[in-house]
Amino acid sequence: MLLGLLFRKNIKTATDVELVNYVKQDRKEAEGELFQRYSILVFGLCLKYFKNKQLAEDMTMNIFEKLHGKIKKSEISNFKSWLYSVARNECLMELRKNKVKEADIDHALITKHDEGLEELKLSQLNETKFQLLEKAVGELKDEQKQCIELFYLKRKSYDEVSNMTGFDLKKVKSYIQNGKRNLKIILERNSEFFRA
Amino acid sequence: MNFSEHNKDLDLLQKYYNGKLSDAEKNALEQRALEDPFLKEAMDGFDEHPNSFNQFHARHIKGNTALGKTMLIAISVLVGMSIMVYLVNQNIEEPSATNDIALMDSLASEDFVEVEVLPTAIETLVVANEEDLIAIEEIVENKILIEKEHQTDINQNDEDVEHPIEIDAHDDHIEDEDFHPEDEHHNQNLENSAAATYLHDMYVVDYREISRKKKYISYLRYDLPGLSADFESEEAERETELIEREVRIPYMTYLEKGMSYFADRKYKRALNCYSIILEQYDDDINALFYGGLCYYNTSKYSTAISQFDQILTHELNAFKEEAKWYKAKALVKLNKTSEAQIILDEIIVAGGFYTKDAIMLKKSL
Repeated sequence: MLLGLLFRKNIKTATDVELVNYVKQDRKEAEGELFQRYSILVFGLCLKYFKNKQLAEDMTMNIFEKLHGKIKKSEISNFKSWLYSVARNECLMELRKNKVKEADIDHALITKHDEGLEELKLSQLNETKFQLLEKAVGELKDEQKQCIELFYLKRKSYDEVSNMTGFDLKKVKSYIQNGKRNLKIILERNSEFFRA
Repeated sequence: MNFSEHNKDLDLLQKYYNGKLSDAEKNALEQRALEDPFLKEAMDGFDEHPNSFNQFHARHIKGNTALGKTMLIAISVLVGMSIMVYLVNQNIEEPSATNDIALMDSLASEDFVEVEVLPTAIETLVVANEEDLIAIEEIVENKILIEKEHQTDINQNDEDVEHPIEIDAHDDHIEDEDFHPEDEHHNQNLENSAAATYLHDMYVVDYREISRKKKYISYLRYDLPGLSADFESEEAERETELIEREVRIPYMTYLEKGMSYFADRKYKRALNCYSIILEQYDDDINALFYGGLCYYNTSKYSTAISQFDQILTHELNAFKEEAKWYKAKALVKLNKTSEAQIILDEIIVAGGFYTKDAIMLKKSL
């Protein structure tokens, strides 16, 4: 029993790569630890796709039950990214199986992901770039401009932005996402930005 | 990722969904999520389903102390055994630590589900009909608009709307509004607003920013051992199988529990939380306000009014407009029309957020 306790202590401090190897060696505690670390992210993702707590929980358990088999068959360098694509695929497969029409699967779920906009990392901007960025933000539509300024420049949380603008949370996120995309287009037009 | 990184993530998420992060910290996590698709999608899911994070976490994720508890049990067993061996040798009856160990063992190793046990006074309350309820949507929407108005008032602090516009007979220009009165803030309430945050989208005073002697809530927690197939099922709450423990948790964590019940329209359970808070902090303004709303929603209008009255004379500046408005509504429910009219007049004269509502309500009397 003491040996078991010592192993459990090691499990807690093991890296994901080590845990994956333990799982390949059929050590159950390692699976448990992966569950502890990542089940909640999987649950959140399932919640987004199924929009139902019970279904999301069932799906999460389902995914982790199948994990052992999948891990044994795969070469995994980054467990978190691998788990993300596994979870996403399982959810989409389930949605399609339940004869949910392709069109009904929330378009947002299958669109390409939001890429980070490096330019918004304010600490990395020199003065010229900063001014060009400010000018570009000024060219955005009002709502996008407001949300981008509050979120990135004033570092307000979604909640605060929502309170200050009156837009609901979903709209705030969407204005920020679209604003970023438009900023990228504006900045790319102005090649000076990238020379500065 | 190694242990400490993802643990930090989990820790941050838990604080995020329990109102324990500052606005800047929340923003930092949200910015990170925009570059981590897994995190982003998970947070999208949780944002759409309030309290789901906490429910899942409580059911499935063992705290960091799980290992500590296991070690403690292991040590207790060893110590207990040593004592037994010694005492057997001394021929004296040994004290049995096994019952406690069995209990600790089951609490440490089993998933258990907390259930609410309501005192009779609250259990026997009846929630009012849908049309008579004050629901979360109303509270959240109004608060956004009230805060917007306060913000506008701050911005207009150079203008006094009651200042008369003087017309100089010799000059055909109107004296502009540059002239400002002595006191900067038209709205008397703005200066002393208490530090606040949001739990489940509802505004609460953040007592962590205010010095208060105690920082914790003690309460009796009841758990049903073993997994329940449907964690929202009320048939699962059979008292004979419950484990009772006195626990002590941070105030904001306990308040979040109450706010979560309120958001789910479980007004009796929410009221139980607020009542427990008031037993330990008899002037807690969050418990007074949201507890008052729960009393309103269970048709206990007089009790609601007495709580709202305490808010109106409270040293902290929060919920004052709302308390006055809902007091008026409660008086109307009690058919105390003349008293209600006095309050409604005060609201109208003050010219705050509820002015139009007050005018309409007064007309309907």
